[in-house]
Amino acid sequence: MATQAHGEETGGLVFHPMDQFIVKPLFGDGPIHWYTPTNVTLWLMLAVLVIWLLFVAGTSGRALIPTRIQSMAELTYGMVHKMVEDVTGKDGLKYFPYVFTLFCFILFANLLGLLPKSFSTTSHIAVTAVLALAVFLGVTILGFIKNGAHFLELFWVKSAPLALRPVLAIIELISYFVRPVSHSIRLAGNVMAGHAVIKVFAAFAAIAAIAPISILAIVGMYGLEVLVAVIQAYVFTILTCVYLKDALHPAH
Amino acid sequence: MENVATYAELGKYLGAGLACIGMAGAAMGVGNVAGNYLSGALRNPSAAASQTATLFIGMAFAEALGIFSFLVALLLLFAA
Amino acid sequence: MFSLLQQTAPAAVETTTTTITVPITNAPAAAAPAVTVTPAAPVAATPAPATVTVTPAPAAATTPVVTDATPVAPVPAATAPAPAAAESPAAQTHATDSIIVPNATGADHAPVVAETGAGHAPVAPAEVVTTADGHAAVVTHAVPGTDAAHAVGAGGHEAAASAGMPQLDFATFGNQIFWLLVALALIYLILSRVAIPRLGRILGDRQGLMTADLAAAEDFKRKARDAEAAYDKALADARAEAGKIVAANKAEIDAELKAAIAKADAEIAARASESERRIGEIRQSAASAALSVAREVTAELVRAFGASADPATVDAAVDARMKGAVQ
Repeated sequence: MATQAHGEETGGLVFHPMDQFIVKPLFGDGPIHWYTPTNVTLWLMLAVLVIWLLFVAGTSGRALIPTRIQSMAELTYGMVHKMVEDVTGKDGLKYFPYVFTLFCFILFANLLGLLPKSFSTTSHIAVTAVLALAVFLGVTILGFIKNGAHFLELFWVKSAPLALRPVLAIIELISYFVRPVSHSIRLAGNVMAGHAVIKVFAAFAAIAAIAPISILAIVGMYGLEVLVAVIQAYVFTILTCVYLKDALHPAH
Repeated sequence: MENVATYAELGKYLGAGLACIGMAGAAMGVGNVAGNYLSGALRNPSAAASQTATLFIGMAFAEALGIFSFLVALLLLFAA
Repeated sequence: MFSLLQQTAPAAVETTTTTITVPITNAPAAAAPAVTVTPAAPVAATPAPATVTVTPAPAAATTPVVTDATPVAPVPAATAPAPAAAESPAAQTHATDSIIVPNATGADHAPVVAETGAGHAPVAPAEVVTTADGHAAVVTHAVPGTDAAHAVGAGGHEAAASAGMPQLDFATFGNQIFWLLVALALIYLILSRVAIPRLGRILGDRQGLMTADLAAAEDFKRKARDAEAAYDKALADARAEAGKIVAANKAEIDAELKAAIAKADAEIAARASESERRIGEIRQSAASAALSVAREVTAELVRAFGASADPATVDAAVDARMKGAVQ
């Protein structure tokens, strides 16, 4: 409303860059309880459906010479598998299913969010914070279980001069606790920023004179957003792997 | 005194604009990462493939700070 | 504007009775400024239903916020916005939402109240009444009997949420987190139970098949090498055989040749000795002829010199001189 009032002042342009992120109940106007099916539910379940289609229905042929869809599933699997193995080593492969879950969920939530009229679940801090906190808590607990007190050596930089080590330890400790914040806000911010910018360009399309430029800008932004959707999924996953590596081998 | 709200409004918009300057730093950072990667990769193309993951991690770290400033701008505009 | 919305929304949530919140407290203590509630023109009501434009007197610096939750009977003053409300389709569905002007509390406040009529927020978010000087008064109706979540999330009250960032609307966090966990659990089950083992098996099978094929190819290669070696060996054997035959033939030819040469040599030798013998004979005869010629020449010479000589003596002398010369 406030934005609309603002828009009225600037002569007919209506900016609602954030309206696309509103959580609404799917049926009726009822209150949003924790169990209410909302548009969040719809798009989360669509992501689940797409993952099911790709990884279960697409590979049901178990073809030796893969079909196109099976090939995509195999490539995704191979990429994440190689990433986990390269970054965390052989003993990190135990956690591959969870990392693969994260990657698939973020990738498809991002990509589904790019459909027109859709809802980007990953643009919400609530969603990405849960993902990042799960990784953070899981990795920290795992580090203590696997290494005991040696896990704290992560903060005690052996290669630095002794005088510097306490300072470095404080910095490392802070950066360790900032991890979930940056991890979650990076994803949500990227997705939100791109969608909001597209919305702003779309609002400019109301003026006939600059509509072509606006549409071109939307096309360009959309291409960039597709790239960002994939890269953010990749980055989230590889950072998860890096944190996992820190928990498994804190010495280096 | 009667214009307090107006001034607050003004300050919000100014602050949001100033926060966007932070994105320039992120842009420079990301460009720096990509440029240095490219120059390194051209010097030693055989080692380039093994460093793409590092490239993306570096870019993500640099970009995250720009996203933070964008977030500050959004918070000022819509949530403050 | 944003801040007013943000601040008043929770107030609307918490109360179910009539509340009056005045965000800007320094209200002018002057006499109650006359607030003229202009009945919203139908023109203004059509694009944005249920939005009532209130133009306060110039002195009115404050724009109080009124929250109304009771379906009380309209105060007579409310009749002014009523036509506007009646125009909005939402007003019919929310018939209980009524307009009151609670200015009975004090004359020094000049509350502005407008019917908002819980419309469709994206089209016409109706809670903000914009005054002439850009300030906003917020009037929020909480439908009786609804709880907090409704007040924030229901369509009629979306404006309160959408004014800020939807990402920071904590009322929806529980919902999002719950469904996110459900989705993650589903994805994890799908992937870890079905997809990952299946993909692993497919890739493993393919890898196994490829190694088997490679081994078979290696086998075939080895066989080909063996065959080649056998061929080479046969070739070498044949060559050796041929060489042997050639050598045998050569020896035979050599023997024949030698025999032929020996035969020819013998013939040549026989002929040569025959010729020698004949040459010897010829030489013999030539020597005796020369001796007799010498005897006769000597006898004649002796006689010519006038001496008589015994022929026997002459012959002996000639023979002695000729010895060694002829033969």
